[in-house]
Amino acid sequence: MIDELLGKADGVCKGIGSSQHLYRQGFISNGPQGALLPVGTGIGRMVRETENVVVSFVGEGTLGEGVTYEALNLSALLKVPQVFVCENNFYSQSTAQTRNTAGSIPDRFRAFGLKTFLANTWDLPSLMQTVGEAIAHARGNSEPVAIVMTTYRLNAHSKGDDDRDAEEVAFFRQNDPISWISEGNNHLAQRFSEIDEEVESYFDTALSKPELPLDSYVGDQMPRRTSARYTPAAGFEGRVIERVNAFLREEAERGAMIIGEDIADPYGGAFKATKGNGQDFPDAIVSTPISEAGLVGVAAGYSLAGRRGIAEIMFGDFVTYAFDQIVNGISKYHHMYGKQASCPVTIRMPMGGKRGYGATHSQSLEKFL
Amino acid sequence: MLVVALNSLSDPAAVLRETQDLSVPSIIIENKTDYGRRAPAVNERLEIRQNARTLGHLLITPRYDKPHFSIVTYGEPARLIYDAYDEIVAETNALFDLLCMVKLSPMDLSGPARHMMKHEAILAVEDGSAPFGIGAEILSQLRGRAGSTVVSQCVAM
Repeated sequence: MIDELLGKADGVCKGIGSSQHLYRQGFISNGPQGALLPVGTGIGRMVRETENVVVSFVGEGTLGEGVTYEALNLSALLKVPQVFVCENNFYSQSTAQTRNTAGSIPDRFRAFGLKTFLANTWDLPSLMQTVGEAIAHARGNSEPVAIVMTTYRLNAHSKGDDDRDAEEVAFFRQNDPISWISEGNNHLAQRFSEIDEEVESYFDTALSKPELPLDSYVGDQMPRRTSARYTPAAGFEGRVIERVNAFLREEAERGAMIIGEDIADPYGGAFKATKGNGQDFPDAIVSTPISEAGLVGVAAGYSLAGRRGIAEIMFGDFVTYAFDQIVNGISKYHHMYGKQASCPVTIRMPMGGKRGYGATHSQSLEKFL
Repeated sequence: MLVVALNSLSDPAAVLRETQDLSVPSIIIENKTDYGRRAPAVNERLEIRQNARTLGHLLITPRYDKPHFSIVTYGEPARLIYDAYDEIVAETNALFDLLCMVKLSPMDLSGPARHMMKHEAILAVEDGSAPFGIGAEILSQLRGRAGSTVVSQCVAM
């Protein structure tokens, strides 16, 4: 981890991820707030076949992001064993909660029907018991739950953004479990001190380590077949949409999850790309509410978990809602996680005009992709 | 991120299958009007071939005469131009090659460039608005290869 923070090739993500973008043995983190919540839902869609659960951490500042609510809704609708942990530390970066968060935090989770547990990081036995109950509930019922966990951040959110009252910070530092556990236990205090020394001394070693060579820093994943040869183009029978439908049917048969708005039968999607497939593969064809960012995130999570997710944006114009998933997530996972992750998600979208849909349903936005 | 545009000049299911088999994150640009189209009617004067590269472009060439210029495009405009080929020739009195890009990103024009450099003029036809678009990128890359000797223009449908 220290190697990673210093940008060294021995880091957990080869020094590319740094502190905010980490991937290791089932752990995944990313910079944009809330963006990994639907990704967790997609991973959970896969792990619900096992005894495992997905645990998704956010701070209460993330409750301002719309994708958070798309994920809560989708997770509940898809019956995913996902534990949403909301760490409430009273501040969104530097701004007090009273200025940023309206209403009740637990009620935001309850609104989606999630059983919501309350805990804090000062009563450790109760915290352990509550977390255990929450995970058991998610696992046993295959449904999401929430834990609203009151806590406090002892250091700045980032660099130079800590305007909190110094006495307040000192109060919580004094009452932090690490402080009072070590005060009452010489053995633990000694051990904490040894860990501090070990970390400090490792920095000298890490600083002399090499960084990833530039030529292996970024490369695309695509295998290339190069040829100057031309062959007759493949013809086809039927209409284009029927060929798309046939392809999606094959993918459903092969275990892919096809997710989009209104794509289940009998409607079968606005352009009928999945019509008829939902009847035969009801588990593979996942119809969602209007949630472009959420459904693309779910498909990405399913793909990160080793399956194939295919997302349909009903009208390509609305891929704009999913840009964060594409620009800050899907297009980067492989690279920023040191080539340890693969996210072979497919996002389909009809573009173009001529059918009378008007200004927001007829654009060609490929220049942004 | 792989960006692919379907067209109705060749089998869209084959393009989707090739894309899926690459196992990389991908975006598929489809077209609402193309959805209802069948394979194009055979034009005996034209030949439709596909480059054997990964997600290689389509090349539509006049079967019996030498073309005067190239049109490069993707998606639905390729079909519109194909269907109007004879009309365009009648109006311009010039034959042309039609290149239909399948893989838009990462854009690899080494194959198309080799072909288009045979002509002195290239017209890029963009499905969206022209500035900062796919057509502009195509022409930028081609001019990088050919220098300023090629006359080129980008128009939007």
